[in-house]
Amino acid sequence: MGAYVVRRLVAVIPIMLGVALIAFLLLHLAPGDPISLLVSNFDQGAPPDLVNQLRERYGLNDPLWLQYVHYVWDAVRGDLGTSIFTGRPVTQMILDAAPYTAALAGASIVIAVVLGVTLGVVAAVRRGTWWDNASIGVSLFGLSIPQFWFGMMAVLIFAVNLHWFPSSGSGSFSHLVLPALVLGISASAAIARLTRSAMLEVLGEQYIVTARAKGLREVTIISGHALKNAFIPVLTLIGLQFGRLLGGTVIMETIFNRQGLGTLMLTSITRSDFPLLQGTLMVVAAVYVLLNIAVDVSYAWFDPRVRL
Amino acid sequence: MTSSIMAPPLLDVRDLRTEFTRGKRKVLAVDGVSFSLGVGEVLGVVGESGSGKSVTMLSLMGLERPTGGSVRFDGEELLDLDEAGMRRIRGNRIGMIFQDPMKSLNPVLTVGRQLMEPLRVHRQLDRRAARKRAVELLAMVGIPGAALRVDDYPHQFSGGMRQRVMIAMALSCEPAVLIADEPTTALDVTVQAQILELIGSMQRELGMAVIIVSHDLGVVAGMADRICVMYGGRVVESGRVEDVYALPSHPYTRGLLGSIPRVEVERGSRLEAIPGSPPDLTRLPSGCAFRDRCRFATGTCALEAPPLVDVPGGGGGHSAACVLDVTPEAWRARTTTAEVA
Ligand SMILES: Nc1ncnc2c1ncn2[C@@H]1O[C@H](COP(=O)(O)OP(=O)(O)O)[C@@H](O)[C@H]1O
Ligand SMILES: [Mg+2]
Repeated sequence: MGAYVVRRLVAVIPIMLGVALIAFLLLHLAPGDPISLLVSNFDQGAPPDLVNQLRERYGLNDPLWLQYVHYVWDAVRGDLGTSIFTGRPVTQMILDAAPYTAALAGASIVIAVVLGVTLGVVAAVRRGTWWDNASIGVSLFGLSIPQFWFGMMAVLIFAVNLHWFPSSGSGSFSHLVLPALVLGISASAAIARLTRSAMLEVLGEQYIVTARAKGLREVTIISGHALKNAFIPVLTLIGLQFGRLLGGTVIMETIFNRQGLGTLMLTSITRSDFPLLQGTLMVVAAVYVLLNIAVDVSYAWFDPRVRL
Repeated sequence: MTSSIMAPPLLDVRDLRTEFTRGKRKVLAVDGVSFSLGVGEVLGVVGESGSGKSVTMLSLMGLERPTGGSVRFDGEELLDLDEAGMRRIRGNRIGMIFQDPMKSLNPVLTVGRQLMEPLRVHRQLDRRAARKRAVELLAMVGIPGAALRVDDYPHQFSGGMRQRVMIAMALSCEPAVLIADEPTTALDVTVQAQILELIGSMQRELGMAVIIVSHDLGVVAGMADRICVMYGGRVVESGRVEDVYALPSHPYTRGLLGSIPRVEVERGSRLEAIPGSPPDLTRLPSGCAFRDRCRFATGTCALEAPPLVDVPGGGGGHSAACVLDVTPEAWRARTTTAEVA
């Protein structure tokens, strides 16, 4: 197990080098030069030696491969460069924004798993009843409604009309409620559907008959015997949902005007703030890769047949 | 065994019926099954696959919903009990093991945890006491290194060892009845004998009654005091093992006996497998369910399903459900004509 985790973590290194390379190349080959943007408020164009001086400062005159090596070397030491627009260290900007995104993503995934698994289990146990139909309805809704539309409706109804929650900002817990619910409910749909079908399959297994023949309560059988088996395929899905969820946080941060990595990424794009954009990309990619390792490791916990 | 004639049986199943709806069709998987089981007695239930043996056992445990009949166990009518009442019986007074030990244990829970469950539920043992008892039970059913293996998962055991775990689990609360539904069918031949041996020795040691179910008459014959032969959801013959062997009275039983090598039936009769395929409950013939495979079927067989009646000249409690004259003389005459033909 320990060896497995170490092996997986070592494999993160080439992945991150690759991510850095792709981000690096894309940004340097893309049209739009951050320096010309930076100096665009000069009325009659910027003096060429000033431009050159700035290019020198940001290392943009070096050959591309050297820029890449510098970038990676600095990144390893925790320095992701300096934001062209704000002049602040990228690492610091990311550290400032990350907690907001982490709170949103964390709250959403908890809501998604709790709600999805509960709906799925209820639907499976009460198959063919009103409960089943209702939970299928809820998950169809979640699957077919685009997140941005769902988010805007939530703002309109619960913030603008009912004033239950603030419509924008990221300071407090009440700012977190709506975006987290929107993301969580939307991600719970797929989890509910898979939980339902996995649960139905497990409930037909012989070991469930054994559990009943032992005289266990149905509640014990569902929670103690069936759910742990049914959760194994759901775990895969949760891993996949992380990706969708991280994308969703960008949308929610925009709709709810929240601080966070998504906002940081979007503003860095509109301002052609290459170091900032690249830094956020790196961090998001690293988080995604690490979360997937965590999911894979947790398999071993749920399924003793998996040997790591 | 004279006392068992006077005392009410431990388990008395009367006219049990269990019906499934498959699509719009009604399927009678158990169609008026009756048998009884005395204290410490071993009953063999035999019949080809699909004859309703498993559904019968699940029905009397309340694990399938019977549509009618009566199951009296130790003076209590089980079919009248609610869920909580049935839970008190299951795994406590009646233990059950199944055909495929590879599928009967929960793959994600340790065998110890699964063994402890009935002890904690029925005996209210605390965790430590239940664990200690679980180790004892594993040792009792012959699992080497029980104290170490209690924390292992099912996949770390072989098929035979898993069936031992199942037996330990079913016996954990010292039930009055053990139902073993095809306990050896999924196992290697060498292991089969060991598991049967284990069930036999546990039965003698704990003095419990056993219902052993098999499609193989050979499996139950060595162990059972009495046997029930099932076909198409009904009991077609039942009686003490010696009596049924000495005078198999239903053509189906004769077929089953014929398909076991080495068994001496009647002099002059030849060894024969039963022609045709096992019954499909969705299209059973009218009357006697076996008549489409029976060499001796006549027009009367189509009229109604014959009831179980005492076999003339058979031992006490030997009965068969066939319209034929099932006396030894009649059978001798039939088999010799068949031989000539
Ligand atoms: N849950 C069920 N729903 C519908 N039909 C069933 C169900 N369980 C068993 N049956 C049918 O009942 C018949 C008897 O099955 P079973 O008792 O398992 O036979 P046996 O144990 O003698 O091999 C079979 O035809 C089987 O298809
Ligand atoms: Mg069966």
